[in-house]
Amino acid sequence: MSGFLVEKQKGEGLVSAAQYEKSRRLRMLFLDIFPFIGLIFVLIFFGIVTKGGIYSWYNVKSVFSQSFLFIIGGLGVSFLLAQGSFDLSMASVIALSAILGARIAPFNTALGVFVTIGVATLIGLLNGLIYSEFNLNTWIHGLAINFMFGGLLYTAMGKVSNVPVVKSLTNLNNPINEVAILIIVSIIVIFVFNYTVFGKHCKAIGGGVKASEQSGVNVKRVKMIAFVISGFIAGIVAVLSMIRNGAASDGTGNMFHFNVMVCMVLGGVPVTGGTAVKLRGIFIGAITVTIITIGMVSWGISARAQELVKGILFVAILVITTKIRNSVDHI
Amino acid sequence: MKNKTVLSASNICKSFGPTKALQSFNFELEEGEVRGLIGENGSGKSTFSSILSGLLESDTGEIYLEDKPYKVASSREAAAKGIAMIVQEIGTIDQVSVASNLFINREQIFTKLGCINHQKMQIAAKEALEKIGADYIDPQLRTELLNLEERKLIEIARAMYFNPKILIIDETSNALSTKGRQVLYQSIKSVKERGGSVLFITHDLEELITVCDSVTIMRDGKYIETLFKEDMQIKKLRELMVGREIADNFYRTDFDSSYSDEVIFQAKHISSVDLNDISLALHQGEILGIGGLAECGMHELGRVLFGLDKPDSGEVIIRNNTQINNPRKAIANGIGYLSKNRDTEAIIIKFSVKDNICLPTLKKMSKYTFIPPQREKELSSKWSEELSIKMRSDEQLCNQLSGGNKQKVVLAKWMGNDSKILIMDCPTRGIDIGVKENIYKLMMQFKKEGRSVIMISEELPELIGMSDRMIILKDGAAVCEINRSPSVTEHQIIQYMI
Repeated sequence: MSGFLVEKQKGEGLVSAAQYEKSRRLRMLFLDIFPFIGLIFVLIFFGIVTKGGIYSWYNVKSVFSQSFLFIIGGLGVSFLLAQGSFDLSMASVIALSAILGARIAPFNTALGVFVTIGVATLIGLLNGLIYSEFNLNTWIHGLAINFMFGGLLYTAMGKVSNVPVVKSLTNLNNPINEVAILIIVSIIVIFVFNYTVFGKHCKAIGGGVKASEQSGVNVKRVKMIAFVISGFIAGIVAVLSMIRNGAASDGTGNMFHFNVMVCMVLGGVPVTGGTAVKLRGIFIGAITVTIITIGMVSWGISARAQELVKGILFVAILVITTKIRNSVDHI
Repeated sequence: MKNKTVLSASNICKSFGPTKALQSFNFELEEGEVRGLIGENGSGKSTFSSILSGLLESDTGEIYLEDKPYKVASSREAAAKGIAMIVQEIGTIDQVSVASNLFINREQIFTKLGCINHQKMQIAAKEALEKIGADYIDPQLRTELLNLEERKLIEIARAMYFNPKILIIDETSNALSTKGRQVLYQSIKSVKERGGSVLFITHDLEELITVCDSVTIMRDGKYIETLFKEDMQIKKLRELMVGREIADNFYRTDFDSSYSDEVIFQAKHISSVDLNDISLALHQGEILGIGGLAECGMHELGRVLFGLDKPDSGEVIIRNNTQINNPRKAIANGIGYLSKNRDTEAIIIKFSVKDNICLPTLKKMSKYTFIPPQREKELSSKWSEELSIKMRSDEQLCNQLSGGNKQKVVLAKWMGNDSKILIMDCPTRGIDIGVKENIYKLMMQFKKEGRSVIMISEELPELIGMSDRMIILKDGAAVCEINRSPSVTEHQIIQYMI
């Protein structure tokens, strides 16, 4: 670090070791429960301003149905998040695979589903190959891939406003199925993320690529597999949104990755990766975002103003969590 | 003859969290004096010099510079008052030119109407480099193209350009070759000749004795003693630093350099940009030392042996004829590697002690891809106890550990994986004497268990003290092989190195 760039550390005053340890623990604890506090605060706040209006069974269902896809998508990118990267190509991957699937499904439903997930997985594989082979910056690379497939979509198929989805698929549109899928995906991801070599290697890469390599992590392969998983889950998200919406269009999955990212921020998931990435952040973040949206609608805030409120909120949360995280690191 | 006191500091205290880095530290420096400052890691040397140079602020205490109260909030202010510091870490910025680095924060000298006159700055840069005798560095170059030594020289030039009253040098000589050190010593001399003073921080006691007029010893953030020229003896200094009597020699005392005849690991005709046809064989139960100057290629050789870098020709082979061409293969065949860049390559600094210790062993631990948390816990507590790592719990993050304890974590990592061969690159760099002794003991224990060690080191005493056999490298080629014997001297080896 440059002597000229070192940020001057303020005198911390004289405190005992025990006091210091206590304050460090408190901050760590706060980081851990920050997302929960946020969720509870949001629930109480909107409860008060809508005079209890948001506490309804209908809203419980809306929270589930609106956060459902974001949670699945978030779980899909969790392995990339652990490595400190992200998949910014999700939106156009979802649109492309959904349109292809919806066009094939009338001939054979199973094949349609297979193509949807298959195309998304293949793009994930391609992403992973390019990324790990050339050691790119995921954020920029992901954006470029997103444009690439968005462009491919338009040039190959023109403007696709609405491809209806066959009955055999839309008949599956039922909350019970969604809950079942959410549970299955969650269990698998939670297991792989926390209790397998692959999951731990992802976090190690987030902690430091060189150190991981020298400890026997196959960095290239782990990076690639994480992209394949992200692609595969984007395919599942595409199928689920086809079932739910009864149609696929070039707007399917629009802004999907941004919404997932917003959930991460609210859930306190650090973008730098490592062991600080906790899956519960994805769940809490997605639910909190949805409650904020629903709450603001019930409160009667206009769509434009909603964006403003959300923007301010996210910046505030980022500032607070980053500050606390840094202070914990420096102790 | 008593000179005028130029700087006096009294009752300086500074804490970082629970750590008391400085406790009521008192210090006086005379005009024209070259003062050494020594102490083990964490004894407060760097903290004190950072306070003087404005990088840190003290909690309590007073400093007077030429009888005027001295309080600065940045290195810029300190420089304006005549105190310049060469920091321990790299203090230059890679992406800009040498000239910009030389005059960073002082661009206003060359500024007219908000624009920097680059031509003027280049000329001044040339002057600054000439002044210290490093004018072979082109001020227009981008700094990242220079090696570590040249970057350090830039810092020296930067500190010297404005004729500092007090020059602070924080453990800089480690990064310098003989030539670079001459530049540094010359600069120290010229400061002294002008009547300025120097505060010189180093680990190298021999260097200290030749360069300094006097030396202040620190321990645990406290002032211990100041010795003057004739009282400065290595043994005495070392004892004052550690605070107890220590053996003159903490290396192994035996000269029984026997090891098995069985070759378990070998390199055949390794050549690359930095290496020139190197072959070596490691035997079971052998400690093989590899030495030379910093740039001789030994660090690169270590990387090749572990499979991190691919040589242009030649191969590295383990006992059963398996070729080692990536670190995963090396680890699977029982090789462990301690990088000299501990914080970025050997451990994951933001991981807990447990996660670091378990990382290479995860695959072995897993049952059908599942890793039972209990097994991780067992492995980590077994080895952190065995190596007595100082920590609150094994969930503690490694960035909170001292250098010595981090190195213990690295060792625990490889011992936990039951490594048969350890490749250690600068195993005791930046580690205090206590932990050093532990590491040497561990190497001996390793040898007794029939395991083998390749020790790459820039420190000759440690190579001579620990190796069964030494290979000395020069310009990427092996120039000689020396067997363990009481008659080997540093002097003899240096002949081969340069």
